[in-house]
Amino acid sequence: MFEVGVSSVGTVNVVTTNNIGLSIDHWAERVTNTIVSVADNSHPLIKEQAEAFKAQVLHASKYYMGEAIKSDRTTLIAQLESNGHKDMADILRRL
Amino acid sequence: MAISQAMATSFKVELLKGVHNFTADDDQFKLALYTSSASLGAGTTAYTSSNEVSGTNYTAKGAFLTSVTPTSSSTTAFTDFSDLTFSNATVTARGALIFNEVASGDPAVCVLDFGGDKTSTAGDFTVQFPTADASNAIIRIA
Repeated sequence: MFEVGVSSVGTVNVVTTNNIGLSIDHWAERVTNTIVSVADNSHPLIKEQAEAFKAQVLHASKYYMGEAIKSDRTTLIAQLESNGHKDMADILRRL
Repeated sequence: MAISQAMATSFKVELLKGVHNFTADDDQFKLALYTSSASLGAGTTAYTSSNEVSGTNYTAKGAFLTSVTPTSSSTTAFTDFSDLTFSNATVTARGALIFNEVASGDPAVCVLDFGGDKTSTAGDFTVQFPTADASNAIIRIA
């Protein structure tokens, strides 16, 4: 006989914003926490190394997400200008 | 009316019948949002449009989830989804239903209770899934 002891549903967290999107910091932390997790019961030396690595991943994620946003904005500005919407392109440029 | 977080009982039966496949190969599961007027729980068997939220940039049946291939740790099997964001959305929801969009009849997987109304106004409405491990993952079988 097969017996399933427990079937469980985890707890989700809902994050919302008003009149703005979520920040780079938010997404960088989500990426970092998805890629790197450090067990509480890890050996102290390994835990220290893992935390240092995690901090580096967070830093790199923030930086390159910022660069990706800038690149996307450049593309949007170019598209708007080439289609005769210089006023909208200027709004984006000022963000 | 209430939303009670639970794994659908029908889902457990369907697992034994091989109805669901969480392997990350294509879009299969969706997450739909519901108002506090919805009645959802372990007895929910399939997607329903009753008391589903409506709002800017939210369409009926919600959005596809990106699933992570199931794995195990010790004696617990679990699966995970990537966070889901409804962008630039104006919407208020109290809970959600994850269901199988590909299987016949849109069978339910689980009901999520947000613990209170959550609102975004011309902003992001993001559902963050828990850490994918044997103690926290969104769907666990021990």
